[in-house]
Amino acid sequence: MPPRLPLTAVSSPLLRPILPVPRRLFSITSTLLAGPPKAKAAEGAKKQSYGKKKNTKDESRKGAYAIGERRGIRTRIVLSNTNAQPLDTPPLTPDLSNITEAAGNLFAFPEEEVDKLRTLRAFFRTQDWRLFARPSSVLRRQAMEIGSTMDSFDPVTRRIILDGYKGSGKSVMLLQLMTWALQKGWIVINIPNAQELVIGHTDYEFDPASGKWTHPSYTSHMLTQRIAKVNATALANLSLTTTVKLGRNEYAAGTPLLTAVSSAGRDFAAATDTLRFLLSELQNNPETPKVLFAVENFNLFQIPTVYRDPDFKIIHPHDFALPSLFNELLRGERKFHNGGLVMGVTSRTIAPRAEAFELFLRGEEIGPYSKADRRIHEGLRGAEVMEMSGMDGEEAASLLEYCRDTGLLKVDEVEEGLIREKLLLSSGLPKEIVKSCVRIARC
Amino acid sequence: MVFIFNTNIPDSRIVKTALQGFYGIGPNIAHRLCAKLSIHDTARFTQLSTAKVTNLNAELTKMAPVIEMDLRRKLQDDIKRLRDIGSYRGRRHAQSLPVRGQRTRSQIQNARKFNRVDRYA
Repeated sequence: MPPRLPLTAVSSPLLRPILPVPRRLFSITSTLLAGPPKAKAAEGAKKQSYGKKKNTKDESRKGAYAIGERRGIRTRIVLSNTNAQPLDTPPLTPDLSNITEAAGNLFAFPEEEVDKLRTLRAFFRTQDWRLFARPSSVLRRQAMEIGSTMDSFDPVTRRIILDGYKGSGKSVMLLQLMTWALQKGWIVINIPNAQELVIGHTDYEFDPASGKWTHPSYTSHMLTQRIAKVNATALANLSLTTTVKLGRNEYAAGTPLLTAVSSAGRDFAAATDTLRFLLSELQNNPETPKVLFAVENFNLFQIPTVYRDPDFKIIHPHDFALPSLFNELLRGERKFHNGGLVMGVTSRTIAPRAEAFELFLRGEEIGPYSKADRRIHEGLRGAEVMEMSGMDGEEAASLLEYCRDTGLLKVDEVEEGLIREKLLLSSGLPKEIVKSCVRIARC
Repeated sequence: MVFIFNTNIPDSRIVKTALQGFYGIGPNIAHRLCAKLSIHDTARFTQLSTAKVTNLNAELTKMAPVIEMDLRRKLQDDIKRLRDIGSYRGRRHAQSLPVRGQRTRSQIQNARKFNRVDRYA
């Protein structure tokens, strides 16, 4: 373990240009703008009537929301706040993974990548982006560790299952890794919520050719709306190594991979085959860039699905094409030609966990008399388990200073005592640290 | 609108619950029918392919002896048989009175409604 730096250590000016600033104000109320309350007109008071009530249904209110509008409001992700102080935070750049001093400092996600990350659905509502002027995060040591291997020239694929307490920063670390991957021109594939594939809310179909169950419309959407959009440049530069027939169309060798993915992916029936073909191209084409394939809420891929087969038996999650393809990558059976990163991030917010998966995360074997699902255990064998730890003093100091500068934390100086207190109360979990700052602001 | 088993069903209805509209199909049978044709829980008729709608129709046609009119007819025949053999239960049905030994001192609304020889549901 590297020696822990003193809490008061000042990093290089390049990395942390923000020096102590005067106390800021942060408010999200707009009472002043609303003006004084209007006086109620006495004569306008409604007369009480005891007769039969008239049908007072206002026709204009009918269908106040268009179809999908409420869901839009419910799932909207707010990444900025006009009330928060805009800060001059240095951007997250790919070279940072090699600068040791960068660890524990705060970096903002660059605008261009933020758009792509949004398309990938990598941001979540549960994260506290809405409290700050623009999305920024503290660079954690684990991210530095993975980031440094991302730079290696060897065609090695890191295969990681990332676990850790709720609010420990697992998904935010994945965001940082995705940002780096996008900046380095990697191909980024993301399944933002594994839950969507097991709770029976999307269609499923049996594919007799592969003996697996598929998610036709989900896969099609994933290919055309996420993979093809985010990786357009990288996929356009790659050409097919073989002639292939996907759905009704045939794609000759030399056609840009993007064409095949976006046009064949549109056909629900051919979507899974297209994804399989895309992965095989990334395995076989020597010109392919490195690849980052991530799954969020990975523990949901280990519980029984609610889907049933024609015999009314529950379908095992690993019998579905998408989880099984991802598991093949995790086990190392499929390897990207030039390496990359395969990452399953567990969730403690979406809690259901399989006993076999728990044992796997702890590195234990299933006992001979245990009823735990051996298939789950075997299906992940070979993957590296990484635990996301709590923040250390320096990381917490950066986060608290950020909260102070943006106006959330109402103190003039982030002192060592305050850092120790926050660390103790939050167990070092960044989500809890930010939460505690918001609570102070409310008092 | 989809035309299934001689019934028009709005496109926007969820398949699993719409199937429960047929006499003789409850949550369990509807779930099994959907599983048989790989129709997911929240699927609406708009999302179903034509082939699946045809298959669903075929499945329901196969089930015809145990659902809808045939099931209603069976119910009527059973009650009719009870009356024809002159059993106590048959008589009670004909009188619209409780059949299974319930008291008649207070309310017997449901018995009046349901216990008939020409019962339909």
